[in-house]
Amino acid sequence: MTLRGLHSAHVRLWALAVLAGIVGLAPGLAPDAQAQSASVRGFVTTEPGGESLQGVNVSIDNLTGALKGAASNEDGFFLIGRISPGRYALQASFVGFVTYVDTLDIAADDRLLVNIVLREDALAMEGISVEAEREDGAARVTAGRQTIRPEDIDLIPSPDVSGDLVSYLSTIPSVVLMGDRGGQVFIRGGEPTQNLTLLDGIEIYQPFHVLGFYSAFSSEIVSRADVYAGGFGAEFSGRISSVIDVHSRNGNKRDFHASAALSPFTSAGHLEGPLLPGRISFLGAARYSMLDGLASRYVSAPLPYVFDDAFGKIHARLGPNRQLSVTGLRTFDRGTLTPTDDPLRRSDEVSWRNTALGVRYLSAPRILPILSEVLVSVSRLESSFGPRGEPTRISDLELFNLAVNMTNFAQRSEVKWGFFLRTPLTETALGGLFQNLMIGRGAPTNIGAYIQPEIYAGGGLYVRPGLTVQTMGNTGDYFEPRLRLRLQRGIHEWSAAAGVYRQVTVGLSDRRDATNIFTAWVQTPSSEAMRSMHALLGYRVEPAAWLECSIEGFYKNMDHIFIGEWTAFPGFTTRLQEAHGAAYGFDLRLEVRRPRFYGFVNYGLSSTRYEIDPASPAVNNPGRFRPPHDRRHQVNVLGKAAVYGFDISARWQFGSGLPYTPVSGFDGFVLMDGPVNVRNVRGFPRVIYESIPYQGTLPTYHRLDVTVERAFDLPAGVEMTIQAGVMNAYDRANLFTLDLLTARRTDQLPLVPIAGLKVQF
Amino acid sequence: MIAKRLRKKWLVWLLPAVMLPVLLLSTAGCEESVDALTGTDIPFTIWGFLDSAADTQYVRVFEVADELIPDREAGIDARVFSTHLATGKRLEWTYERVHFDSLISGHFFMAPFRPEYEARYLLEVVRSDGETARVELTVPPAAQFTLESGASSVQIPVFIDGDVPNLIGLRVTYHAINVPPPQAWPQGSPVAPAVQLPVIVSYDDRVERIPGGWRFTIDIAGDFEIVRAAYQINCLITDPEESAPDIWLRKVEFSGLLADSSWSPPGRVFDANLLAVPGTFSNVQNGYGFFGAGEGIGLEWTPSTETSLQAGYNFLPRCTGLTPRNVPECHNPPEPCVSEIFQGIEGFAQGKSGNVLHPSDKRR
Repeated sequence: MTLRGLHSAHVRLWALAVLAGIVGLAPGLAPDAQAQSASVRGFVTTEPGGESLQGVNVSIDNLTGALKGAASNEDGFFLIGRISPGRYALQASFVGFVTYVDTLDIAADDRLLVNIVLREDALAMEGISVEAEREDGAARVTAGRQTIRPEDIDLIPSPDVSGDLVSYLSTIPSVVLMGDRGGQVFIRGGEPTQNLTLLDGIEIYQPFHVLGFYSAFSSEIVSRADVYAGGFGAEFSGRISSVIDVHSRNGNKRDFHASAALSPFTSAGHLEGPLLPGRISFLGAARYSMLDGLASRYVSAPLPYVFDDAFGKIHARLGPNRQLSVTGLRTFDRGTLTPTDDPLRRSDEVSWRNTALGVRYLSAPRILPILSEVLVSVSRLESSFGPRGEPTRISDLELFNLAVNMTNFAQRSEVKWGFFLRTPLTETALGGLFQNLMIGRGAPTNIGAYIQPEIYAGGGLYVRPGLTVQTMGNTGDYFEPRLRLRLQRGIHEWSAAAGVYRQVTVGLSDRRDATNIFTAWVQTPSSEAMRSMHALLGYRVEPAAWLECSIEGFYKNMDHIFIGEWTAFPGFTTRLQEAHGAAYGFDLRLEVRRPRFYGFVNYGLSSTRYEIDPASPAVNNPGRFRPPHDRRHQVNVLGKAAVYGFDISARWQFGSGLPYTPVSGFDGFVLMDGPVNVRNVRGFPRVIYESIPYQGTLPTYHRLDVTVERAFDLPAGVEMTIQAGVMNAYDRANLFTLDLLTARRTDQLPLVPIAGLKVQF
Repeated sequence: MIAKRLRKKWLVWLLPAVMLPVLLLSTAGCEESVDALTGTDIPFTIWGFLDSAADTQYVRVFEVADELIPDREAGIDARVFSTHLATGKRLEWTYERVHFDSLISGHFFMAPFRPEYEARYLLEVVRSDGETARVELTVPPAAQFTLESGASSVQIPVFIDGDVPNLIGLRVTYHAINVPPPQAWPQGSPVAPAVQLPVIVSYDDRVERIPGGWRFTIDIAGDFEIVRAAYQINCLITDPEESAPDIWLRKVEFSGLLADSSWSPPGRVFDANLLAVPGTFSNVQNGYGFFGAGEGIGLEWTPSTETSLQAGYNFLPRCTGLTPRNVPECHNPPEPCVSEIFQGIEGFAQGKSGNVLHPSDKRR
């Protein structure tokens, strides 16, 4: 919905921002007027390392049974407010750590700052199972949100000893990857460019590497990733499909640690340690593809890919209640998805480079029950497509982002609110890719504010309404209401989410050719920003401590999206048409956790349909059709067992066939637009497609990956991990793409034996 | 106990619910092959027209094949016949192959005759198995066209007298000349080169039907802005204060086609995206493509100096091939005109189709 009929967009927005601020402040300010005005706040960190710890239960007890508590957030911050004067026992507990106990004498109006350091529990580290509230797990999905931790990532067999976030994403139902190359992730019917990927709040536009096992997020640097397959809250905006919110680790503030890993696909290393012990740490990690030097020597399929990434982070505790971090990321990818010696199809290369830098300042002022965050970041994506060194299509995107996020804490609620300024600058030269959008630049300023109360209503009910208000370039001003609900009763949990989402900077790809992953980023060619509405409904049950099941249904509709026009025009180009679409389906998950065995089974059913708007002057309006990423059925089965000191991990994945467009034949085309002397006109070869695109279905996809891993303790605190395994164990010829011009198929990777080594201290 | 029973009940339901789809789907995963080419019974695609102004007629024939680029050395299993439907005179056309480049060769058939005005013809392309693609068409009547090229006005009226059902492909080509700014010069060029960029302006949407014919007006002054913009888009002129602000008009060329009634694409728009869709603009039975009839018209002239100046062209370019090197404005590169490229192309993208510029935005 838009704000029409009012006078000035900026006045409206800032008025709303101020209103949001006042409303947001209210829960925090109100207690001061009352008798119970004291509060306790602080950060929870680990010892050793100094890492922030999320989900720690911090409670105070005045020994009369009046218990108050809070859980630490992703920065380890907690706040307990409305405390009456008196003597209290403070307790902080988390699985795997020694419980922290302290006694506090709290006077009226006290605002105590208590930073808690939890020490690792030696007993727990030795394998004694301690059950506690978990946030992550394959079946632990609440209203579209799934939390992934490095331990989860490392469960998935991959060609490296260190896992990668994208490997885990590929196991999530309704997340579709086009194959083992391309770096394109479709989530619940949305396009890759409709996913918001954040690293410590910095937007990363194309974080997935050209070889599908890898992304910019190795498990070495990830602290936690929250994946919202839909229905995300008001704190996220600017994308209409999903959010992948990655939080990186802080470097160790006490000791130096390093690792080096080598596999046929990549070499990688990381180094972390204190710059100022106890206060400032750094973490650096880098990875480089070894396909040319190692894998291509024994893999029968061509592997013309090069990629690398480098990550760096400095984290500083400026004071007991202030933190500052600087995060930088650089990635590079280059490759030819369908290498060919066919003179008709040049081996065009696609390449892209991400560069990102962000500064995050976190402060918990003593005078107010507030946690404030200021984030300033710059991220840049440079993409090109064409012969190496002579790209015919170029797209550059640069984003400056300033965000201020506040969290006000109250007794049974929190209010998040904030405002943001984003200035995406796009420059694109498309070489005729989209004929009605050949070349251009745009800088649609995006200013907005949001408010998001979180209310624990009692009886296990948690409600999180939200509202984002923003102005997006010259397309207008938008209200985006959001709602997330959770009801927990014993072993059962019901959850729901809904929301309206807008996106003004859009990524355009020619989906007629799945191998053409070049994406042009432009301001939407429409007068209105792309819109999507989400609705999710889920149920989760934990019938036993070792078993968890969940089911979640979803519906998304999409308006003002842009797709390549379906035309038989012989150029490898197309024209854009405005379209709408819908995706719906459900995910079914079952997860088993035993001391020596872990496994899950995921099934996703989804259906995605696009339709060119009837008013759009399309050449050939095919009506409703399946886009090429509409994977109807998806199954992932994972099992990991510890046997005689070896970790054996196997994953089987299945995907039903993707749509494609059959071809009737080939002929030639001459434009007869006047007195054409046909004898002098070369004409164009033409593909005679069937009238409705994507009516055919490609073969199903399935694959088994198996790895065996063992860690050895070496002298001087060095640990060595050796991995061996096989990707595509039964050598299934899975189709990656079908060239409709030559009817030639390109398959995904064949059976690939792997061996990896990692040394760390 | 009750809780335990409930939990077991959940398991009983959930395990089959998950495992059953897995088993069903895994058994469906054995198919590997995919047949991308479904094939068609349509034998040929035909392009060309009967030109009543020419003594030799041509048609280009494509086989509807199962590969994008057939062997360029291969022949074609086709014979072409034309029949004058009033007289019954049937003529077999002669085959000719033309190699355009290392990949593409064209199969042409030609016949040495001049079509008769208002006569009806049948063209047949026959495969050895008898499959035939055919077109029936009527040659439009004779017409006269008048263009006052000697007039000193920048508005030149054009009249077509005759009952011609269709008038298409009306284009005015402006052959202008200019000395571009130095950054557009060829590498190492010692002197400023002169550049010609023919700019074609379509008049298809400016023509008006009148009793007994058609008329339209060539607007040289109005078209000057289009020509100027085309030069600007190509970085060949810059701002007036910089080195190459002027363009000079050398000659003007007009061409068009008096066409039969079938030569009318949807919306009267010759849009390659649209017309490339098989069957969208076709009069061929049991085949694809288009074969029409018509008579080409055209004229080329050099406007007078007064006309050119009045239209906006300038006779005295500031920098010429003879400009001494010590004239800084002709040799110091001006500000890159990349931003002008962006603005210019954005402005004209709506109306550009191929290399023809359309002054109005009626075309998509």
